[in-house]
Amino acid sequence: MSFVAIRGLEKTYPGGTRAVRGIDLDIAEGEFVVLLGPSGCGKTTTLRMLAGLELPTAGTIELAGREVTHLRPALRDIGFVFQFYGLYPHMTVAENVAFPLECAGVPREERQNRVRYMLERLGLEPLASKYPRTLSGGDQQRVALARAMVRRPALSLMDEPLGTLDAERRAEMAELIRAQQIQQRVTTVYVTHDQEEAMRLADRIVVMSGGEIQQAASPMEVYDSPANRFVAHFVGSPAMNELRGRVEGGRFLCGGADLGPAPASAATGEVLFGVRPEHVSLGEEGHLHGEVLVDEYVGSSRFVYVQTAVGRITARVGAAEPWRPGAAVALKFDGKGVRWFDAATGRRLP
Amino acid sequence: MERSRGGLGRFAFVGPTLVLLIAFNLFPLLYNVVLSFTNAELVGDGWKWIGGRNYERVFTDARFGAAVRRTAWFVFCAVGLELGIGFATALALQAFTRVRAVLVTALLIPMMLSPAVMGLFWNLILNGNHGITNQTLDALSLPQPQWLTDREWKLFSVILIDVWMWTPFLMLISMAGLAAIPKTLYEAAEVDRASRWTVFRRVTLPLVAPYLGLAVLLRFTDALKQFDLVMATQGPNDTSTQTLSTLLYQVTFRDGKVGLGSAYACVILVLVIALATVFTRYLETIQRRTA
Repeated sequence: MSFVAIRGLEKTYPGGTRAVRGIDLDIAEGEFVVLLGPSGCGKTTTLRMLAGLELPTAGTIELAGREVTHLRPALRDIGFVFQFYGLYPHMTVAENVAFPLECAGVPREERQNRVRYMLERLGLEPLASKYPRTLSGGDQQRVALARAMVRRPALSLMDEPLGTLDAERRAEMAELIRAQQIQQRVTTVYVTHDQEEAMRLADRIVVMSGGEIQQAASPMEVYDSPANRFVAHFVGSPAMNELRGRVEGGRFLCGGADLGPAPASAATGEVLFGVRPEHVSLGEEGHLHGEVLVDEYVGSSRFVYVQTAVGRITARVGAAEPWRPGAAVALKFDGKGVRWFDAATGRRLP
Repeated sequence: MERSRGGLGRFAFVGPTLVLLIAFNLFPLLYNVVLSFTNAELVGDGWKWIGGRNYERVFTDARFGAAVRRTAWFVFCAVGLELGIGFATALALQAFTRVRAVLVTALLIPMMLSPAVMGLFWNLILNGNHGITNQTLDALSLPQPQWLTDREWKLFSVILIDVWMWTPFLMLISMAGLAAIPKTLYEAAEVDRASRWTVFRRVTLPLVAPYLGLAVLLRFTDALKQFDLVMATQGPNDTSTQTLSTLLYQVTFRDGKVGLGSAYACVILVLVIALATVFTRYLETIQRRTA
């Protein structure tokens, strides 16, 4: 039985914007689910409806077997980490973390113990008597995290908590959030537009676009078997290469070149051929010929951008082999890495 | 060369203000201190040093003690009511998102009128016989106090007019303070399961406090100088409404005792500065906690 059950959830704002257009999602207890998508895809609205900060126009939300669709946030037993921290500026770090306990009527001594324990766990002890405005963004977000977790809520919700931090802090905080979540096994729903962050944290990624779920699956599945073109492009950096061509006589033809056998599921006609940069290799001979545009060295590997007659292709190659811009090169595609998409619907073909 | 020109250039900017400040603030202040040690009078120009005798008279004058207590009571009641009603109105207005702009404009009108004119209007409104207040009370068969002539009611009436005039100011500042509280904090408090009362006591109040403090400070220093309403409704020499400012006016310009009046002025000045300093310090500590 699922711990969180979302059924037909919709949100239309006054003014007509349809932010969420019918979402069904089940979340297991202890699961870390990341809602991923570009801005305006409805992920934050979905999260806020889970919290009760926004009321759905249609649909239901069940939490731990209880219908909570129209309940106030206070009655849902949730923790929420806001993008811009949402710390009480007139309270010290310790007072901020203690506030949920104070509201719950936890006796002073127990309150102090639990706050101290929480601060210790997040390395915030030296900051206990400081005011939020004197802290760095990363430290403020850690305080917000401590405040959201101190009451041990049934469901922990996070709205782009790392959005305002610099790269180094992001990685550090992501690790901390994951470690805390694994230890406490608190069911967590986390919103982000950063696909790498989503991959790193999630048990399951829910990719959203246009107010709808595009795919809900493990990070590996989302990456390897994207449900459609949108997911294929949104997840992975650089994005998946895509070639438009025709299937004729069981072969995939693109710009006059024969790129090999097409899948049995593809009927004769237009299809899209998708392949990630790591499944493209460069050499003297191959399926397609082109000219090197840019050779991007990123330390562990290189991304080589090649212009071909049918479009630009990115290849991920070994760091040791530099490619001179302007050089003629042949591209080879690893058949195992190729994914096929319906040209009309964008859906992946089996 | 460069330096002296810089100095001259700077003086060109600051100079005029400096000259005006010295001519119209510093000189009169010092001259007032000098006069307070003389027996100068409004009529005639002969005066001589009489040492601290004016100050002796100030502190032994029963009118002075009474005026201090009355002014303190006036400030306490007027500013207290203005704060309470103004803040409550601002809170209530939060509920009216649509018509708020219209309501606020209407509520701000009293604040924009001249106090002297207000005093005269209220003279008519509160007039014991043909004022609209008592006519209304009469129609409702309720007792009709002599608002402006009964010793028991006079000061209350002046407080009432001041409250009517200045409550909108407190309301305005309260609204600014309330608007400055980020919405996220209310959402956070809701998630943290704070009751409405807890939200008010632990989030709203501490975060508006610096704004309220500033508004009260401004009203406080202003109310200490209460002059126009009393003058317009009662005149300077009414024993049950005389404030420090009207007493000062009475002594200096009606009685013509400039020397004694100057001594009063000096004492009042020291008093006001002392109170304002204490208050400002307090305000700074609140602001340091939240800003």
